[in-house]
Amino acid sequence: MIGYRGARLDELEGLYRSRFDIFTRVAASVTGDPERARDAVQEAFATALRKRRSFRGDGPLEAWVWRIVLNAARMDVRRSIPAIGDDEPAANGHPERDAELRVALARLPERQRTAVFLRYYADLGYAAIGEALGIRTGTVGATLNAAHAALRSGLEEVRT
Amino acid sequence: MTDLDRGSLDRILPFTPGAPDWNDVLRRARQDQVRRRRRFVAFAAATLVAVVGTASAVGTVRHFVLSRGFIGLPPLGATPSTPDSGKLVVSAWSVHAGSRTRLWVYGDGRLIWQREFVHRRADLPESANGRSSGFLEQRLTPQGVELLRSEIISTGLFADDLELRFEGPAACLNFIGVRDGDRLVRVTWFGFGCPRAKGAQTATPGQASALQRLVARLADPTAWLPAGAWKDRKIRAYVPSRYAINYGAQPQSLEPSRILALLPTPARELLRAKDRTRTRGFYGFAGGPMRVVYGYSSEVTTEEARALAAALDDAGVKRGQGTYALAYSGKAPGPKGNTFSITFEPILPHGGSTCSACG
Repeated sequence: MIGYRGARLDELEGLYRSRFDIFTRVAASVTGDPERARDAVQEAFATALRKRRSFRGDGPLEAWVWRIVLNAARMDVRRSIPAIGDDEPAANGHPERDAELRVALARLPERQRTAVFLRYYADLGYAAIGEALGIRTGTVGATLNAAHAALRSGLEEVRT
Repeated sequence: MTDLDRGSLDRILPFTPGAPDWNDVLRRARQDQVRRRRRFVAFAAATLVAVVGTASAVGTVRHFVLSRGFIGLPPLGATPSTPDSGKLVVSAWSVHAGSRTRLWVYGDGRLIWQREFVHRRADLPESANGRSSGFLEQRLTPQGVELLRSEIISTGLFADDLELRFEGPAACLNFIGVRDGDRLVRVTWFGFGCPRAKGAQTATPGQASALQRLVARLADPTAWLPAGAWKDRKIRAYVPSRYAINYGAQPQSLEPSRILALLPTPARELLRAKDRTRTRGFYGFAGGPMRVVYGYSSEVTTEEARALAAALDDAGVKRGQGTYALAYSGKAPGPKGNTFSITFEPILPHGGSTCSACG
């Protein structure tokens, strides 16, 4: 018989409150709409609450929740083509550099792009990214390497 | 060097609206358990409606009016909304208090609307399900139509088409259109952090406040329109007589002939015989440029739509969950993951349709 550790209610609530902004913003990179991303995160945490007894505890709780959040966001994408217009670069920060990076990121396959956000924005380790994306830890390194290579090439292309 | 510092990613990722709401999470977790228990009961009720509808359609001619919304095709025998066509006076697409409302008002008094519950479960008894109300209809008097129209015009924002971007949280796409003589004037606005229309100017606090007030008014006209504005305030389902069949492939668009070739023969022949228009949409991720995708749209009668759905079902084409619209999908030629989809959308009295699952 498999013994599940389970996740405590207060653990999930603590994670939700401390990382809400990061969950929703990365989810928005998948859904294409901040409102839908928020909805996906709310639904994902509701799912995590219902299924908390099935959390095995052989990896971080956050990685387990990330997987649920990303699945909820992908479900949302499957049902819609966002009806929004042409974009323009952000008007804050470093507009030109950000615009180049934005274009290069947008050209990445979804798994590579999400791995980049999980590593460099959500600060997850390779094992946690693997759990969140449903891939082996060794594959995470390869995925990030591929993303770096594609970004380098994409940025050169954008700049020339 | 790939510029992957947290600050760059922070600026690229879209900002998301609102603060954390743990109580909403708890409520959703509880409601889902209740919903699972009710699913069987709902299925039985839906079957009963279909049986009653069929019985009404046989023999005597009776009006069969649906008192709650539905997704996809109406029960057999449901009476279509009349008249068949109407002159559009107001249209809106906006988010207020956790729900997205799409609304159309016609010169003949029809107020047709659809509500998508984005941040909360439906609290509307007439709603088709917990996420979408389906298309609903109420009737205004001529005075009611004019009151609604003048409420919009009186903001002074609707002299000409206008595109604005909000500096605060807002959904990525919002608009209100209103008839001014022969013209339909439309104000569109985009949320902060969303891909924005080129040329959109920053909304002043006064413009933002006026639009937010209008959005709240349009989300619930029964709350402020006087009794004399209503011919029939009772909410009923809007039953169309025609459907738009929208089909395409994403993320790589395909020619219509290549999509139709993927369908069972009866469905292929039905759509091939129809005129079609090319549509343009956007697909992608909010931080980057949206990819333009092309689709196709053909108009069919409700009976033809039923035949098409039956052909797709018989052939085992994957049917969507039906939360927002009746839709089918399957693998399409092209890059890995390329998918074709066919969506059924009611045609509204002005001859247009919407995208029920778009945001």
